[in-house]
Amino acid sequence: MSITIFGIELPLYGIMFFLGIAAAAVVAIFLIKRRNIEGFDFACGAVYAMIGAILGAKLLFLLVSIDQVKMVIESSLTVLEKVEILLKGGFVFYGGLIGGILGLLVYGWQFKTKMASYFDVCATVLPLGHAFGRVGCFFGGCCYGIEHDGWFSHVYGADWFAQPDKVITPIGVPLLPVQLIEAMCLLALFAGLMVLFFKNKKKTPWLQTLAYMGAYSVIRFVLEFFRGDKERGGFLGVSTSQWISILLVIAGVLAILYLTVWSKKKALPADGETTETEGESEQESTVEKTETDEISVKEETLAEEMSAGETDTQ
Amino acid sequence: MAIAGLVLGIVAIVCGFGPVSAWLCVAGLPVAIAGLVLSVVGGKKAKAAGKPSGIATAGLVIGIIAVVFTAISFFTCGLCVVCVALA
Repeated sequence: MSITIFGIELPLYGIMFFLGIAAAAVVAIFLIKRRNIEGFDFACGAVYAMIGAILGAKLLFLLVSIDQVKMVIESSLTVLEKVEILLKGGFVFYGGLIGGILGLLVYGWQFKTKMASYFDVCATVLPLGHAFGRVGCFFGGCCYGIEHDGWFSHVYGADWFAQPDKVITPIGVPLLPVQLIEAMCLLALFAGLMVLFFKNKKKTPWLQTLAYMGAYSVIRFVLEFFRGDKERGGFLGVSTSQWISILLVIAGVLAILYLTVWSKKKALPADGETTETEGESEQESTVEKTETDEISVKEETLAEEMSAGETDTQ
Repeated sequence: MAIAGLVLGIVAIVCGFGPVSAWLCVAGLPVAIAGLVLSVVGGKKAKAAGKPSGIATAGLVIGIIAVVFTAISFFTCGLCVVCVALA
């Protein structure tokens, strides 16, 4: 579906994609001030994340569509046509998420920047942009749901598409608009993360990031059962995105264990000295509540944590 | 480096007008990405040296717009093109 502005026909899919980026960027501008991140630095980090996201989303799409990729390669098309088809073939969100994370990590490594605050801000605004994108999917006719003839269903007509004979979307079939359901879930997640962001007075690092990883993985895992498009790959009856959801939850649990158990032992050496990492400083603030015989150590740690929070972006 | 980033960003925006040529649009995305990286590195170096980073910021903005332009074309064209080719 598209709209015409000043005589130019613009696809709603692309417009929603653009609006999603713009909305997320506007919210991020407000949030970075709360984390003492400079605008230019955050923009640079976001650029690296965006580049990683584009590459990751494309690579994962090619991986999960390997059979179609082989068909394109073995077809009688010219090399230029094959390249164009493969480059334009589509994207997978989870690939973008992983690529974006890697992009931010590269940025932190290249410019020697602590990235916890960057990740937390990005994780908070990401569901907002993603929700717009899912609405775009609905307009574009991709990522559609299973056949469903209930009150909450949608039928794509031939007039929905510019070239209805060239789309894979089932036309004239009542489908569950799972894109809109996911968009609503993402908006709810965004609201929850915003509350968490402002309630997190101590600026506990990685809190929003881990919350996002856990919550979105569950949302996506469940909604995958209601997806009707079959061209996304899978293994053992579970789709690629569900496998990644499982891996993300495991990664999140390991990260929490690292922040709360493993680094605790490391952060409380015999001489009472603390390390300089944010995760370890945060860990000690947790320990403070439970171990009363080390109060003096905790006070020092808390002071360091506050100091680390202020100098996080430098 | 920042100037190179700005120039590449402008070139990518021109490429991003998909209706002119689909191939130009495909080429626009990597050009925009290259421009963005150059702008980031140039801007960081300028700030570290205490010099103004206005050109780098301009390159950053132009590059982001170029990526959005080209990416929109990528997304919208990608919805059906594989199936068309295989049909």
